Amino acid sequence: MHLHNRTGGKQSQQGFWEKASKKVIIKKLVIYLFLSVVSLSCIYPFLFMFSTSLKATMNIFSSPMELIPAKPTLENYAYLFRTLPILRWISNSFIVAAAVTLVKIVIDSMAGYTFARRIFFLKNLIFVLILGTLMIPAAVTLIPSFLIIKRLKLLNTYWGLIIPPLSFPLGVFLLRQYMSTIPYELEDAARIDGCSAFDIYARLFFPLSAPAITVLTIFTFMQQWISLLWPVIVTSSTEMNTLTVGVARLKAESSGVNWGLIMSANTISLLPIIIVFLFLQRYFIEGMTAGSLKG
Amino acid sequence: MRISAKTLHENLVSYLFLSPILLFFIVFMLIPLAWTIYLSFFAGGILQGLRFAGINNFLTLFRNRIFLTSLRVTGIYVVIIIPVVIAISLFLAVLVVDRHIRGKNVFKVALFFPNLAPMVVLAVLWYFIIHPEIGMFNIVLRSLKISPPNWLGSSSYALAAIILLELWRGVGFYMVIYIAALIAIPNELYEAAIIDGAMGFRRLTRITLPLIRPTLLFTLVMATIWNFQFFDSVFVLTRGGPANSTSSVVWYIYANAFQYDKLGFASTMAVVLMVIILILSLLQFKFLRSDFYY
Amino acid sequence: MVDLWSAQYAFAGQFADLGSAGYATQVKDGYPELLWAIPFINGHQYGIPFAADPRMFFYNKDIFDKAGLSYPTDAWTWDSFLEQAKKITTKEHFGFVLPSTYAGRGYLDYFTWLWNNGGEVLNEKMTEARINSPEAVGALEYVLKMFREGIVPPHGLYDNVSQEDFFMRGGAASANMRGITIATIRNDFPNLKWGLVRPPKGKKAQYGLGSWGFYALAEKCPNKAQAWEWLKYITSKDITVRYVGAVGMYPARKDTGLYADDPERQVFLKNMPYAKNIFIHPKGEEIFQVWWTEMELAIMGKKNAQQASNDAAKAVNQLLQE
Repeated sequence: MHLHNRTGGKQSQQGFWEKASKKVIIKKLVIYLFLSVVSLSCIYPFLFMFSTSLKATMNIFSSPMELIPAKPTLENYAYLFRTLPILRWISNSFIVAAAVTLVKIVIDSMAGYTFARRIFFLKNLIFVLILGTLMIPAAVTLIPSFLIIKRLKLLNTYWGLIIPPLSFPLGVFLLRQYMSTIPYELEDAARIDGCSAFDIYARLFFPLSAPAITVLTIFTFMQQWISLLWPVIVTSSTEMNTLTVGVARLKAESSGVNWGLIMSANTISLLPIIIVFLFLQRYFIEGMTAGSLKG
Repeated sequence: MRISAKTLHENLVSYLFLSPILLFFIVFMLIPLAWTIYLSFFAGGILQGLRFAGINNFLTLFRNRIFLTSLRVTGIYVVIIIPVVIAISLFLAVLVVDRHIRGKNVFKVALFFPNLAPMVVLAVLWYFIIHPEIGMFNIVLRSLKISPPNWLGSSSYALAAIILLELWRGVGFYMVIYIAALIAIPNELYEAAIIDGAMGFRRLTRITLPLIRPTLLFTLVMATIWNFQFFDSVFVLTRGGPANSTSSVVWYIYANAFQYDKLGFASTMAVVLMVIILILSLLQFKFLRSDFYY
Repeated sequence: MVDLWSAQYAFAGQFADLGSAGYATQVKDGYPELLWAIPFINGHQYGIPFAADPRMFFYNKDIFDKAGLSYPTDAWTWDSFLEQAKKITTKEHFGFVLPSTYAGRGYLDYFTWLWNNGGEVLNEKMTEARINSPEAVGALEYVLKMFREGIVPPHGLYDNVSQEDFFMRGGAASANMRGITIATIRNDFPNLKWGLVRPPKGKKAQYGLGSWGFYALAEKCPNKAQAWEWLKYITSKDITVRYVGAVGMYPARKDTGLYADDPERQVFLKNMPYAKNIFIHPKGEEIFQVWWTEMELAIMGKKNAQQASNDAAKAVNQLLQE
């Protein structure tokens, strides 16, 4: 595409930019295409899952690739709700996740404040200890935690589900990190005003750490919501199943027979998260990756 | 050294604040950790009773074929997934962040979507997708004239199926992290490089990669620790089979503790797992943290 | 109520010995000997047999009609089974379905074939593996033929439960299914025309697979006498008839008179004496796992039958000696 022109130099520069913009357009197209294909393949299975949940089992086998069911039916959902305590499962998951999150917000922020701002005996030792355990795989604490909960007779109860996860100390770091950035002047001012340590924590540090606390909330909530290893060991009755355990056991028991039912259970499991996600997108993503930038 | 009443009071208050987390931490982190190490020297379980076995467990551990297989399976899984996932998600992140691309958020959400679901839900969905009869993945493969293997029924391909599952999920997760890291790089640096005539690839290697190095390191360590413990997909899809070809270490620990009633042996494996992970993490930190400029 | 999978508890002394407590003799006569012997472990009577879910071979009459083959009878042999299954396998359906996953206890079906050829996993005293005896290897080779000749679906697809659904949908001409599926067929697949037949006659036997549940008393129970009365009550004739009848299982008691007017279920009842049970061993779970791993390797073609059986025997023996 060489255009000869009387103004020589300028034209070549123009030619350069023309070529560049054409390159840019091609590049854009390719990237869009690629990204779209990848994105679609990430999402498509879920659309498919939803559509399968609306098909009668017969149709699932006869026309498996059909995305929009020809004869949509709610019978899978009806069967689901009739035979399985899925609402109970969802509320179990919610209760556990919410309880763990709420308690963690309080105790982790308290600890975060203490490490960020207070001086005390053995501070460094305890901190390093807590830091070290972050790398310990869950499998290591599993068995004794199980034995302890068993001794306390809390197997297959809400307490058994809620209490052990409270020991995971990520929140302490997150909040310590954030709280360290709160200016000393504010704290001094509060002290001059005669605030007790608790006041300083509750009225000053806690509110000011809202971003970090939001991140912690989402992270903890999601972590509990999707957790499988611990709940599957602690629960032994169908009613106490959390959602993940229920879905896992459902698959194990019906093992690929009643796809419509399984897909409907899957869909129901996802619904609460999707709804929350739509509203809290920004916080959500940040929360789930737990501010790993600061890592 | 005189300790003033004030210091004592201050310390007391601090510990008061710490006490809740310390309580849970000690009871459900430290004590179990110590207890597991203690149990690793015993054989037996809840029903059969425990008997002291000294270092016997550790000795037989490395002669136990299934444990060695589990190590191998876990190793293959980690070695394949980590480079592939990180490369792909980094690549995707670079694409999405490109200033010429609109609709960044749409792509972000779409690719991150699988992470909203618990692994269990993903695994069940995946099982449906790779079903020999009605699985859409196989239908697509067949239309491309590739005859799909019997995924979960074949000891050669079952692990591949599980790896693909984690790739599907992981790509969006790490991409989002890298996007945030990439956005943090100030544009001026790129503009300066363009003026200096640096082509795309050089910009990538000389500016981008070094600047996101901390994030890369972090995700590398995180991914290693996380993937080394894979369990959920095995639990749902294969239960360690066929023929132990998908038996991850955590799965084998679970089976021993809760199916074969061999708590002692399971604890021994847990201790070994922990040591492996610690060593891996330390190694990664050591090798990749050096010459940390900027 | 516990089942064979909870036998570990018996070995751990968690169950009360009903025999020595003098309870057992009160009810013993109401049960056939073979069944009474099942919860008799290690020389002690640990439970009262209650109900079972034995299996029989179901066959799909429509598929047989279409293929122009006569229905199988109890006299069919391993050879005639294989032949007929080969003839009847088409693109639409398999001749038979053999679950073979470890998950979902798919290996249970294999026992029928193993036993009928005279093979066993362990010896009588349960101290040594017998899985590499010629009979056992022969059974494995026969099963491998089923996979090689394509008369059963590929390995790893179906387990205990999903194989039943597969049959009911017409995926296979025959299947070894639990008695409880009669209710499912009647409810959900009323158009299915089916028949019952015993497993093909093996060289040594014609056993079916049974899975028994029994009631046991906890050893730690503080009030044994009362608990025993309760046990007697829930295994009494009335309760048994109501409970077992309602779920469609089969009772252990001799005198229930259940299913008198249900010819198909009668077939199951009649064949209960031939329903053998899998062995009970404290390390049972792990034994199944290591043994079946080798079987899977043979099915997937990674080892031949003799090799797999030898390796299985080695692994099981190692376990037994631990």
